[in-house]
Amino acid sequence: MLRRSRSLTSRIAAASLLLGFVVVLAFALLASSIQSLRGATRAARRSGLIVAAADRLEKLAVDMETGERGFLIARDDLFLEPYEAAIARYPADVRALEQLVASQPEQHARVLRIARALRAYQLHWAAPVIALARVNPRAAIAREAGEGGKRRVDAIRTQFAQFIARENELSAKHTSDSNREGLNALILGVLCAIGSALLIVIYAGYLLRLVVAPVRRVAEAARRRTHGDLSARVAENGVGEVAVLAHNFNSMADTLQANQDNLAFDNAKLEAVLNATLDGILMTDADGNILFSNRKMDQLWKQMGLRDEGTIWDRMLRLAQRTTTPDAYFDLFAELAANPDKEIEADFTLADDGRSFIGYTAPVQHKGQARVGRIFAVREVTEERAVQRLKDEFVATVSHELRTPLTSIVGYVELLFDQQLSGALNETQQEFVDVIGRNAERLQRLVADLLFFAQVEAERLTLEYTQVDLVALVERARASAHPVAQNRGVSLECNCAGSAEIEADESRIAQLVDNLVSNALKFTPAGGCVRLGVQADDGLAAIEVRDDGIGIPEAEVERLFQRFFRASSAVAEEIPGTGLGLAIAKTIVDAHGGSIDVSSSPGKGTTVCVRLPVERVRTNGADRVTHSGVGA
Amino acid sequence: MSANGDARGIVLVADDDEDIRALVAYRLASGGFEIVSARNGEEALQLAAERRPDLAILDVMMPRVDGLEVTRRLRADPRTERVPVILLTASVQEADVARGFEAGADDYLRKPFSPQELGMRVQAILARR
Repeated sequence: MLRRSRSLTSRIAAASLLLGFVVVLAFALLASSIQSLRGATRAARRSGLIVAAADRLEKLAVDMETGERGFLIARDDLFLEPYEAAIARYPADVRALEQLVASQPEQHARVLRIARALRAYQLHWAAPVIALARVNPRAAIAREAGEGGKRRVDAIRTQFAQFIARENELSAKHTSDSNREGLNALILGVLCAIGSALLIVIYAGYLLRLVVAPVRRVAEAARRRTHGDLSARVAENGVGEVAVLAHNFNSMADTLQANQDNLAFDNAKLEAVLNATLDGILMTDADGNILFSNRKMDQLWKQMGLRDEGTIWDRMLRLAQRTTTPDAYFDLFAELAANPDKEIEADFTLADDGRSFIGYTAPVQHKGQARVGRIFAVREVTEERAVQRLKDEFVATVSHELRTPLTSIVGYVELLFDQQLSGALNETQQEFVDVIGRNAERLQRLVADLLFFAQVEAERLTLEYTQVDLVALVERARASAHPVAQNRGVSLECNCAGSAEIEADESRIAQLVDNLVSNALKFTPAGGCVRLGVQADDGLAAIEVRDDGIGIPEAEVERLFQRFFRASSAVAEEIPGTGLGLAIAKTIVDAHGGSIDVSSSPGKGTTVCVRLPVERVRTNGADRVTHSGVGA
Repeated sequence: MSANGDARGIVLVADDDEDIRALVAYRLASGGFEIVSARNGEEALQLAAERRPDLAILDVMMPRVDGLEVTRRLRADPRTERVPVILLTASVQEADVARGFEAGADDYLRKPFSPQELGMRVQAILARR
């Protein structure tokens, strides 16, 4: 998918190098062409100089001859002056010409020949003739008339003519060369310019196709993506980095789409959950504008007949006016206004139809910092409240309806025993009244036990925590059970060393210990022994009640904590009881966050061990006693 | 202090249960108190105003006006504001006991109670005055 083998950089570098090379090459050609043009031009100019120099030298030769001949005719030294001047000048002119043609061997040879001929003419002809003329003018003129001198000069001039013709020929060639080279340079220059321009255009096109077009495609796709086109993708057919860019853009778009899909899915899930909950849930921004409201909240709002417009505070004010306690609500608003980060839970009841609700509101924080809004939840608790009321009424009614007759029974039995008030009873009457009293007491305990559970059921039993001295408490339990133990012929011992303080509800722990002690006494036959022990270490306090009574079959130990369960041994021995004592004990222990264990073997005895935390266990149950674990 | 010179004092007993009224009456009469009985809260308030008892024994759960309300009204009336009140309650809930003391009661007894204990408490409260 990715063509990384030839990256964009290397391609552009290669193309740039190629372009540079071609342009340099073109200009090198142009330069060399101009160089040869200059060479040709220089050669042509030198040819001109050579021809001029040759003309000057030829003129000197002519001057020599003319001077010599003038002297012969006139015999005046004045006519010898051009001759003398030419003799003096010509060697230097020959050297100058020699230098000019130094690079041309053929012409150089000609110059040397001309120089030799000039020298020969001067030494072997002109000088002897002049010397003769001074002595014998006639002989000299006769010798001159023999045409020897003219012939020699003519031969020299012919050589000059050849030399000049040759040089002119060369000059013409150089000029034509120069012209040709000039044209060549011009054509090459134009070609180079056109070629370079063309190459640059091609190069720009290449870059455009390679970089700009793909980048523009990515930019366009990015623009579409920004405007919400989730399907915006680009072809990944570019080169190197451009392909990587396209690929990365597509990956990013894929990731974004996946994230968006996930987010949409999460939102759908959240919305489904929120709509499925039985609580009304609503969220606002920091100004109280409603951002979200679930189906239940909309329903509740509609059922209450309240207009669902305005901010949450407008709505809350309308709602507050419909409750039985609007002022309490206004106080809550004031509290919220003063302390916007507060979490508030409050009950309210609608004045017109008596429906009850729990409202809850808490700030919503973003990334643990700024408050971005509030969440409001409302739960209808009309039925729960009704059930609660029924349970409360049940407890109250049962209490009243059972305890009132019991009060009469117990009270009148007591009056019967008051001889001053009711006169003396005979023995049989006394016995009967005893039976009534005993059973009234039993009934009283049963009612108390039943009400204990009725209260637990109604969640109306709460723990009043204080520091409790367990040793003292167990000692008191022993003391109050002492008469019963004595009656049954059972020894009751307390083996409590030191002190053991715990945080607990003293009256409930006392109830627990009384239950355990009276149980142990009931199941221990005369002559037996019940031992109480208290220990505290490592955050736990233990109360142990050990008897050597009839015991319980192992299989039944687990069911001991069920309400109304009675051990088979207890039933067999006809030991009275309701089967609620241990269930109550377990409920109390559980409410304190402790544990209760029973180990027993039939015929040998039973040991009940209660472990309670020394420090109060904080639970979210507001110290309410529930019957979790009871009967399990 | 007593309106009746012969008795040790007048005790108002209010309970909707006739047997319990009688039970309290038997017990306290044997201790030398004069007993005034009321069947409900309204009667209790009326009798309290008429007879100015030295002590009131009120059942919490009574028809019309309950014992707590009677206690509150006794306390609100300058003629009876100093009358000691013992509440009789069948409730097992601690909160009800607390409400009783809040209303102004001096003592309370849970039903079923021992008549003897009631007699002793009455004597103790009156002795303190």
